[in-house]
Amino acid sequence: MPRGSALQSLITLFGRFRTLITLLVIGSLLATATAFMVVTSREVTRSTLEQGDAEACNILRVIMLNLEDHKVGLDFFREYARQRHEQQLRDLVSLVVSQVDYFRTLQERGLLSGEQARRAALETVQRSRYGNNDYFFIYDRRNVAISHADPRIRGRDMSNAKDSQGRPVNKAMWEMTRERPDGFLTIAWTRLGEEKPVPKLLYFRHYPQWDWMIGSGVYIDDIDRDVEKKKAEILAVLQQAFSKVRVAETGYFFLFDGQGRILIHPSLAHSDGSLLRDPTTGKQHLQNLMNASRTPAVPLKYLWDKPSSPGEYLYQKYSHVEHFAPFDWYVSSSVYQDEMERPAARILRRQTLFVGGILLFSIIAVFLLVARVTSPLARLTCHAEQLDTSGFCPPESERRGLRAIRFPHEIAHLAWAFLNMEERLDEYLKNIRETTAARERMASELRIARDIQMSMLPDRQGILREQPGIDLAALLEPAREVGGDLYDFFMIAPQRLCFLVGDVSDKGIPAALFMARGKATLRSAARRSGATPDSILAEANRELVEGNELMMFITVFLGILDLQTGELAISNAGHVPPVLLGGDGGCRWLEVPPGKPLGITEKAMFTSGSHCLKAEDALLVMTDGVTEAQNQNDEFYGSQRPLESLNKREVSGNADSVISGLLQDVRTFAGGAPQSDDIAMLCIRYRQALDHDKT
Amino acid sequence: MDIFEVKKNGWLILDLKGRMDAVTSPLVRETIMTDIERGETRILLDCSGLEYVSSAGLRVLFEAAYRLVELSGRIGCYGVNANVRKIFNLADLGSDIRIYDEQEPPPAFE
Repeated sequence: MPRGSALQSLITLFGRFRTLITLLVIGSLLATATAFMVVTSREVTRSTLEQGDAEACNILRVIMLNLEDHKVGLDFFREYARQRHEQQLRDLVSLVVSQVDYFRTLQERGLLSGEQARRAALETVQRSRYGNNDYFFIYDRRNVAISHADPRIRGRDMSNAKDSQGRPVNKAMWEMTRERPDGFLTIAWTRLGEEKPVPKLLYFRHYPQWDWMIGSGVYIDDIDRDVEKKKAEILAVLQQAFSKVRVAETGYFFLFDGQGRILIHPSLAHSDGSLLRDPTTGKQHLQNLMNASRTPAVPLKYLWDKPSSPGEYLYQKYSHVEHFAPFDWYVSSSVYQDEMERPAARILRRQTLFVGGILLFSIIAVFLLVARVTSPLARLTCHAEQLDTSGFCPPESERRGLRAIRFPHEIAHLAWAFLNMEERLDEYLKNIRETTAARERMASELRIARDIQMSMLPDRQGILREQPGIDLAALLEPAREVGGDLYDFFMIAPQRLCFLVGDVSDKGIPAALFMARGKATLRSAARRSGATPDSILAEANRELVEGNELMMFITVFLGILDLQTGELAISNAGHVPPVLLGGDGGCRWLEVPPGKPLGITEKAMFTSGSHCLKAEDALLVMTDGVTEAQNQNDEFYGSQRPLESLNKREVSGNADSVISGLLQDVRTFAGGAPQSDDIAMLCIRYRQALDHDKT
Repeated sequence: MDIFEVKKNGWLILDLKGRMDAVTSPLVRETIMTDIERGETRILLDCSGLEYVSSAGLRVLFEAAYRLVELSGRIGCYGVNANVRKIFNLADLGSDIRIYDEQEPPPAFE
C-alpha cells in the first residue's frame, strides 16, 4: 500500500509539533507580507498615478497662466501701437488744419478772396503725403470729397459711402463731431491695388469756419501683423518651454488651435490635426480633446501607440486639455499611464526586496527557533524511548545532556522532572526487584515447606496393606501453601489403630509450625501413654502448654479403634465432632465429650467416650474447614449439609469415595468463593474383624 | 469487624460485631490487650452482634481469659447466638469465660 503509507507519513509529518509550528508561523508571515504587498502595491500605484496626473495638471495650469501673461503683453502692445497711430494722425491732421487755417487767415486779411483761399487750402492738402503714400481728405457738408488722393473719389458725393462691412463712414463722422471737434473711426477698407479689406484707422476734425471735415486714415493691419508676429514669437518661446517640460518619462505638452492646426508638438508640429483619429472610436482625436477641455481637471483617457512600437494602439494615455479662448488655442498634456506608474513599480520593487529580506530572515529565525525548541523535546523523546532498552538506567552522559537543557524553560523543567521521575523509577524498580526476589524466595520456601508438611502425613498404603480389616482415606487441603490442619493414624498396639484429626488455631506458616509440633507431640504422647484417648490428649496438652507464649492451640479429635471387636474409644479437645456413617446407609453426628483445645492450659481435663462400630460402619472426621466453608453469599456450609450430602452416598462405596464426594459437595456449595480455611478429612471404614482372622 | 467500647458500672463492655476469624482476630486481640494493659480488669463481651468465631478468635478469647486470671480480673460474655455458643461449648470456653444466657448486660453481675 504505497499510497496509504505515503499518506501516513504525510500525516505524521504534519502532525509533528515542529512542522506545525513552522508552517503556522511561516504561513502567517507569508500571508501578512502578501496582504501588505497587495495593499501597498495598489495604494502606491494609485497614488503615484494620481501624483503624475496632478503634476500634468499643474504644469498645464502654469502654461495657461503663462499664456495669460503673454496675452496681457500682446494686448498692451496692440493698444500701444494703436495709440501711436492715433497720435500720429492727430498730429498730422492738426498740421493740415493749421495750414487750412493759414489760408483762411489770408482771406481774412484780405490777401485772398474766399474762393482763392479755399482753393489754395484744398490744393495744399491734396498734395500733402506722408508715411506709406498716406494722404488727407476733406469733405464738405454735402459730403463731397473736395480733397482726396484718389482721383476716382475726388469731387464725388460720398454721402452713402460704406466700408467693407457696410458701415456708413461719412455719416458716422458727422455724427461723432456733433458734440466734439474730432474723432476716431476704425473701418474695414480695401487698400489700393489689393482686394482684401484691412482695418483702417480714420481721424477727422471738423473745421467749422468753412464747415469742412478734415481727416486722414492709416491702415492699421500692420498692428495685426505685428501681433501675429508676436504670437509666433510666443509660440516659439512656448515650444522652447514645452520641449523642456516632461511629465513622467516621455509625457509632453502640445498645442493646437481651434481650426485643428497643430502648432506645437514634438513630432507632429504644423501637421493637419484632423488626420488624427481615435483608434477605438475612429472619431477625430482633436475634437475629443476640445470636448475634454470643458473639464480640464478630468483627464481624457485613450489608447495610443508608442514610438518604440508604432501602430500598436495598446497603451493607455492621459490627456488634460485647456482652452485659451483669447487665441483660440488648446493646450493638452499627453502622458502614458504606465510611465506615470513606473515610480510605483520602482518603489514596489525596492519594497518587495525589503519585505522579502525580512521574510527570509524571519523564516530562518523561525526555523532556528523551532529547531531550538523542538530539539530538546526530540532528545527527551529519544531518551524516553531508549529508557526501556537501557533497563531504566541510561548512561550518565545522556542524563548530563538532558540536565544541560536550559531553553525553553518549560522543556528544561520537563527534562528535570523526567530525570527526577527516572531516579524514582529506578529506586522503585530496585525495590520491586528486591521485593520480588524476596517473594520468590518465600514462595519457593513455602513450596518446600508444603512438601515437608505433606511428607509428614502418614502412609495410607502401608496401613491398608497390613490391616485389611479397615478401609481408610485421608485428605489435607491447606487454604494457603501450608496450613494448620493435620491428621494422623498409626498402630499403638496390635489390632489397635490410633487416629486423629487436628486443627491449629490460625492459618499459614505459624499454624504449620505449631501443627508440626502438635503432630510430633501427639504421636509421642500416644506411644508413651497409649492406653486411653483422654490420657494421650492430657499428656500432649501438658507438653504443648509449655513454651506457648502466643497461646496457640490445637483442637483434636482422637480415637482408638480395636480392629477385632470394632470397639471405638474417643476423646475430644474442642474439635468438630465426627460423622458416623452407618453400614445401613444412615449417618449422624457422633456425640463427643467436651474438652479444651490443646495448648491453652495444663489444667484442661479430657474424658473418653466409647462406641462400637458394626461391620461396614464408617467414621468421618473433618475440620471446621468443611462446616465453615462459605459460599459467595457468606453462608456457611454448616452442620446439616454434610449429612444431606453423605446420605446420598453409595453405601457400598469405599472411604475414598466418601471423602471425594463430600469435598465435591463443599466445592459445589462454595462456588467461586475462595477456600477460607484449611480442610482435613479422615475416613475409616470398619470391615469385619473375622475376615482378618480367616485369612 | 467492628468493636465499640463503653464503660458501665465499673465494667468495660466491648460490643463485638461481625466475624472473628483469622483476618479480624488480631484487631480484637489488639483492642482487648490494650485495654488490659491500661488496667481494665473487668471486661464484658457483648456477643449479640458476633456472627462467627474461628479457631483464631477462640485463641484471642482464651488468651484474654488467662491474662485476666493472672491479674485477678474477670471476663464474661452475653448475647451469644446458637452457632457461636456451639463453638464455645466445643472448646470448653465456659470454664474460662463466664457465659451468660441473657441478651442484655446482666445487672447482677459481680
